[in-house]
Amino acid sequence: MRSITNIILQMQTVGAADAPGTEKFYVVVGVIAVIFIGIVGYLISIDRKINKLEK
Amino acid sequence: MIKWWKITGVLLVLYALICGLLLPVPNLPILEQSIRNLYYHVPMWFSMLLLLLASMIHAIKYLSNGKAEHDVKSAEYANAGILFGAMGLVTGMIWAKNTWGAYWTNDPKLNSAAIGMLMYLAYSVLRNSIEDEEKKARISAVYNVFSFPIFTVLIFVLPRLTDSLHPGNGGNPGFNSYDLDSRLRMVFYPAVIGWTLIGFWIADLRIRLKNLELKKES
Repeated sequence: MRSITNIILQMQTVGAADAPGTEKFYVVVGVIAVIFIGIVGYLISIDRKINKLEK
Repeated sequence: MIKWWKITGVLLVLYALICGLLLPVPNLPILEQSIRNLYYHVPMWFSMLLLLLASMIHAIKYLSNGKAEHDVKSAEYANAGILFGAMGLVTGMIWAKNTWGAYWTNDPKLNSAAIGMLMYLAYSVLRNSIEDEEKKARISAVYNVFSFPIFTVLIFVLPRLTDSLHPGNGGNPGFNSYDLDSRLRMVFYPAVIGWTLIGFWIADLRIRLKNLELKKES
């Protein structure tokens, strides 16, 4: 928790690209994006299934 | 085909998730980096409110023409609204612990939101306790039409009449007039619209499932 806070704080003060170790923060952003896309993919598949049932 | 508004919702939320973490935010006392929760916690409540509004509109439509499709929509929008409300409560508690020092305070906005959620849980219990379909639809529609205005007053009017820890409450400062700067707006508004669309998508799936179920029964 502490280190994430530090990283974000560094990004805040130094700017995202300059702070050491900050690039790892993008890994977390990527993970969050993948999880959301995964859930949306599942929603889409349910939507398609219901579409088929409706026909 | 997946409808355009669903795709729009996904893109907006994806933008808000990523830019909400990466874009710079104003440095506010106490809140500090947790101001980013504005992009995640607050849209839950906005989505909930719009879903519950849609639920009430369909309850009114049901009462005026008695078509079962409106009852299905009304119930499912309320269900999705309850889901978003629960998310809002839980995320709010985490944020409160880290800014106000406790998971729950006697803040009027918190207690009002809790009462409001209980009102809608009661709605769901009420629906499930009536066997007769028509009676169920009519009684729950009437209940719904009463709950929404009461909920709105509870969370938007009452906290302004007293003091509240939530910004924009206590007195009459208008809609976040001085604590929402343009950097926050750029992510906040897309997040609200995006999450609302996702909420309607989830409700839409359940509405269509319910309709299929009803079709199968008849």
